[in-house]
Amino acid sequence: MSIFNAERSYKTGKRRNKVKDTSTVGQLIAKVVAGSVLAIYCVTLLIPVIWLIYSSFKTDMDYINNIWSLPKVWVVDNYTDVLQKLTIKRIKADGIYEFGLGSMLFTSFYYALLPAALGAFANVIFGYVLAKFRFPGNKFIYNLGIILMITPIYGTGAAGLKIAKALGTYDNMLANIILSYRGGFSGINFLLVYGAFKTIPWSYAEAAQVDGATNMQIFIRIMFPMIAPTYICLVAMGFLSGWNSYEQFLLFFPSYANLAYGIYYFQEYAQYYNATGTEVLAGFVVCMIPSVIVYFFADRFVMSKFTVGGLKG
Amino acid sequence: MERSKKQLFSDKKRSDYIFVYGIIAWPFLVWLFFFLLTNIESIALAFEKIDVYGNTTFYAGNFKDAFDLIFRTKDSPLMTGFVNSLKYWFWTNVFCFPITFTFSYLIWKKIYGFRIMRLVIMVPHVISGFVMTMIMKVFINGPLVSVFQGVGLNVAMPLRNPQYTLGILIFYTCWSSFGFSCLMYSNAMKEIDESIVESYHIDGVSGMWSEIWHICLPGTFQTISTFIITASGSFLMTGGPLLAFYMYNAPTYVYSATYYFTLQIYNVGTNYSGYPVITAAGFMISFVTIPVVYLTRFLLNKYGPSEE
Repeated sequence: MSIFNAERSYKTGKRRNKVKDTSTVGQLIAKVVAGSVLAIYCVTLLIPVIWLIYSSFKTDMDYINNIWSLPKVWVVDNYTDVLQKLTIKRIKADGIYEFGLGSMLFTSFYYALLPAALGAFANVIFGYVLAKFRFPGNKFIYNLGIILMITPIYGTGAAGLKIAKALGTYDNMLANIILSYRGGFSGINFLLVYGAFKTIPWSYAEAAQVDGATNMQIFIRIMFPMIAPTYICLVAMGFLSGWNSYEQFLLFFPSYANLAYGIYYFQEYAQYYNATGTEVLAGFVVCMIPSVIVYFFADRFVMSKFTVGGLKG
Repeated sequence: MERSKKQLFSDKKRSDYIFVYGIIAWPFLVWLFFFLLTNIESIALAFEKIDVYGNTTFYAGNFKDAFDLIFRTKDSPLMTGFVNSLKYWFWTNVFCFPITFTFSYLIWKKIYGFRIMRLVIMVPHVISGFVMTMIMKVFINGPLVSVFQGVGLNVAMPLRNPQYTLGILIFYTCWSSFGFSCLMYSNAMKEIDESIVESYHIDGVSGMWSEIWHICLPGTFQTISTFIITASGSFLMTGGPLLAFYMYNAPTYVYSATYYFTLQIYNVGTNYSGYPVITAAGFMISFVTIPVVYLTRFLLNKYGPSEE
């Protein structure tokens, strides 16, 4: 049976022939082998991270001479050193600014959280009105979003940079975030929110309307709280993506530095900082701690709410 | 009475419209403004010639120049980028899909230790792909080289070796990318109605491959088709994290088309004279990939799952 026939019979519940029982020893072995491959894969993901963490507590000589072994002496000097050395100089119109770890952390949070929260909220707005209201333009906006999502338009990077410079969003983080945040009525995130709103019954809103609630009150007090886990999932994923972002700081924000950019620069020019290999490793650990903390709190939302439906329209 | 009902309905409709248009106005206008501006500027750029002083004149030859850049330049880095992007695309989308789906199935079936495994496969995303790449850059050049040397393989500078580097980068891209896909497919599998699963079991469907074929693939086909459609348009522009691995100094033989474009935009800096040709090249890629996407969508709609 082809996958397409299987799909149809799955939908209709009609199957002409009883499917052969294929639960054999071979199938069991296949499952055990596949499970073992998954387990081994998980171990390979952990090895570099575990190696990184314990190596960041080594002395530099220990690291060079015994690259795999546990530290002979556990030292925290790499961390104190990297906190002192990790500074980035960025040129602004009115002079040279130095970004220390604190200001890089602030920039990272600012750049990771604000666009993620705004973008996800824009997704929620569009997801809500397109899923729950019939109005002129509904189908047009939905279909436009799908078309934009699947249509690969390349070569707009140069134009985007030119426009950012012309409009003043270049090297202006707040303006850039407010005027060109990610989110809206296209992309995977929109589909995720749209699908989530589709599953919420409208009867909650009708009950509130009987009690005299306005559309805005229904949205803010009833619908948004119901969609909050999905919103948190989107914000968390947007946060991780923004935390990761160093390319934007290379291209759009030449006078800012976030932690990802700082670490990127730090390891690339370690000699300039007179930094040892273990200090660079300690820098990586410092960079990953905040995103791990954020994920730790958002884990259950991401695990349960990250699902995408089809492209109807 | 009838009129007042109509009046009530009309008031309700009016208040709905005010709410809907009011709430979407700002994000829609922001999008419209930037989307239109960027695309209009892109079209304009593709037909401009910009001199070193920033003066622009109309020039229709950018597409020819882009064509020459791709096909008539000896050892064209952009052509190398396309070929490598195709390789990246094949391995990350075509080759990895069955593996991702099987992993998702195992998580859905709650095999022993699935909670920990589900968490661990997200590690590259949780500690951030960027930091993971930074770690791997050090890890490949240090501990992994020592392992290779230990088994008698002399792989000096694996990230600068024409023989191995592209393979290592593609492997790394695949290896670090299972997390979100696994999560998405396993969550999609969770949404399959239990009564359908039960009925298939009664009909004799059991065993891993059988369940994947008869239950999971059909049950998650909407999700799969979304990703087939979006992935079908990226076959010329898929790439690994070259910027994180090499900054601006990647060896040409590992270029992806995306890296080439990024490099051009970064390198050009404030001098726009190189922008028109790369913009024209971008449009040429779009001309090739857009029909592929819509053909894929058409085929999936025609031969794939029905709406209901």
